[in-house]
Amino acid sequence: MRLPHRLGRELDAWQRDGLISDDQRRAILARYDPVASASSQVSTTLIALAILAAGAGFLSLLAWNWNAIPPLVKIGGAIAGVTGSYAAAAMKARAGKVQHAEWLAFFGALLSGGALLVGAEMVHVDPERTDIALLWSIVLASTAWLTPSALSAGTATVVLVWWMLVAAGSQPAPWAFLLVWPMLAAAVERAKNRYAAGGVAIAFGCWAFFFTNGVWGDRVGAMPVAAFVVALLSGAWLDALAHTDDPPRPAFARATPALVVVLLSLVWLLPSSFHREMGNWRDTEASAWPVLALVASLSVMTVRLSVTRAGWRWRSIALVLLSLTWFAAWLVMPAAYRSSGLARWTWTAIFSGAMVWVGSLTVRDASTTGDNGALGLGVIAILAVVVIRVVDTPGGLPVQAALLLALAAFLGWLARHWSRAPKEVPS
Amino acid sequence: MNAPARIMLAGLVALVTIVSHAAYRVWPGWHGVEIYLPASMYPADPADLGYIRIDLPAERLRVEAPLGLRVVPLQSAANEPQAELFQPVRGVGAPWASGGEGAATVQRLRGRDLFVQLEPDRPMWPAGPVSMRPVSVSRTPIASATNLAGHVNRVDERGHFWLTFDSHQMPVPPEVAARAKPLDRVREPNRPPTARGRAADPGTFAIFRVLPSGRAVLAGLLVDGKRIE
Repeated sequence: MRLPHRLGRELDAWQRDGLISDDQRRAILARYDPVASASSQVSTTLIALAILAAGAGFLSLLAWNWNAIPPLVKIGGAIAGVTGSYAAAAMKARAGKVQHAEWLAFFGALLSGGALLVGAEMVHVDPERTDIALLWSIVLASTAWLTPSALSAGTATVVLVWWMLVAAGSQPAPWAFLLVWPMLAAAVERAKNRYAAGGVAIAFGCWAFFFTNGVWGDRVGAMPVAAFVVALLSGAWLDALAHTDDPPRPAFARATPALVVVLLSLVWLLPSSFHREMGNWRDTEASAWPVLALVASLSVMTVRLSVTRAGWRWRSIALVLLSLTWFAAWLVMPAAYRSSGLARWTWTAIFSGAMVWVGSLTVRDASTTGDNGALGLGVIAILAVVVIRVVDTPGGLPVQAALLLALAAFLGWLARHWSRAPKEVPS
Repeated sequence: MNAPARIMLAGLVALVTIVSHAAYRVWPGWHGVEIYLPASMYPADPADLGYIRIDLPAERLRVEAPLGLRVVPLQSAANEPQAELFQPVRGVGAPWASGGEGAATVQRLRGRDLFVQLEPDRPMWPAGPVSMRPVSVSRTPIASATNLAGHVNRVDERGHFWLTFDSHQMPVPPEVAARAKPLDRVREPNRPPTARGRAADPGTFAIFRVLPSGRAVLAGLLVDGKRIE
């Protein structure tokens, strides 16, 4: 059994307060596996990143030769991959290897998205114009619920929000969200992961916003009021849940502060800036610089909070600030282009550089504290950089494939390096 | 239920979703009637994959009475050199746009599905098969007509509809892809640049297979009489 993260610190405190002796402390520690600690966790994470990068590189190579592959081979291969992944996951679960089972089931759910795309591609259907993302989120959410898996729940949340962003441009409101969201809420109840729970809560807030958008249409004068009321009610409801200890509060409600801040920010920022007002921003160049200053301040606060604070509440707030930073940067970019004359690639380079900084600090934090949450934040930041660079890379698919495979090799080497680092075993 | 059984159940959900989605998509290809619509080709991203995007003039309609909308004539081509082309059609089946006019009406139609009725137009080449043209639009399929389901992407108070059909891109040989020309981009005050559709490319037709319900798939492309699937 793995040593709980907090227990090591608690044992130190108990021994310092004279509650337990040194022998008793060692006896308690002996009940757990030797602490794999931060270096091992980082190594595992880097291996996972290497696998992801290698997979993306392989997909780029596949895409390069996509038209030469017969449709039946494509769909057959995709279905075989999905079936094989879930079967392997079940075998691992039977053998008691829970972590491996979760990863394999997650991989199967990821492949399902590819299989859905292949099914649409066979009849030349444009995936952007269909509900493939919704179907994929259903597969991911059911996998997250049944496995259970926080990783699948988080991915399902991202895909579901992506579908909402695509579908919300049209009416009626994306009601199908309510079919998937309960599965996600149930999944994070079982998986007990505060970050996935926070994502699920925020997804609900996004839906509330787009619901009001669908109800009120493009009546700009009315929409902010409606969105504000719904957001406030949603936030208040979840806030009440979060502060109710009997019965135990739902996991997704623990991220309520994050939800409230994001909802209110959406209410204040989106209606005044989205679509129409974006055009006006370009004309008011001077407004770019205060927002840029805000972005810089939020970035510093985010990094500081994520590195120095340990509680879930501060972590949630840090994540919210990070989200706000990205959101604000996205909002201000059109204005900033014009006022500063910087090209798009320059901004993405600066942005990805900042993400490298956040990722490095948080992974370093994880290496010293063993906090999976900080590690997750760092991994997200690094993945963001990878995505940005791949999207932004000139040279087409062969260059992308080469970059991703090189990245996979580098991460593999880094993982090996970490695995050889001294283990931090409490003595 | 134990963990392996739960995981297998999740796998079953995935497989059922994938197979039913693929069957739903392929069904019109198996059981639909083949029709031809004038089309134009433009490049798709990423270009490396050899895909083109297909634009159909039949997706841009100007609906006439009895819509209940205020139909305002388009600006003349002289005033608006890049004026978008709209095909005039009749609105069928009151009161699908009734209950008000102007912003309220068009807002209710945006994002909804409409059905375009098609009629034979002219042979694609001498003694060749006949292409189709849109003649009317309705909220439900019309039993005696060839219906093509479309999604209202944009609509304005003058009765202009921008529809989208599901199938819009396909891989083609490099020599065909080379003929694809980019869409015009139009910049309007306080709006992001938008693509503006153009008339069909000469000798280019999209091949659809449509069910009586109006659901359709893109079966291929005819370019200068050569069939590409």
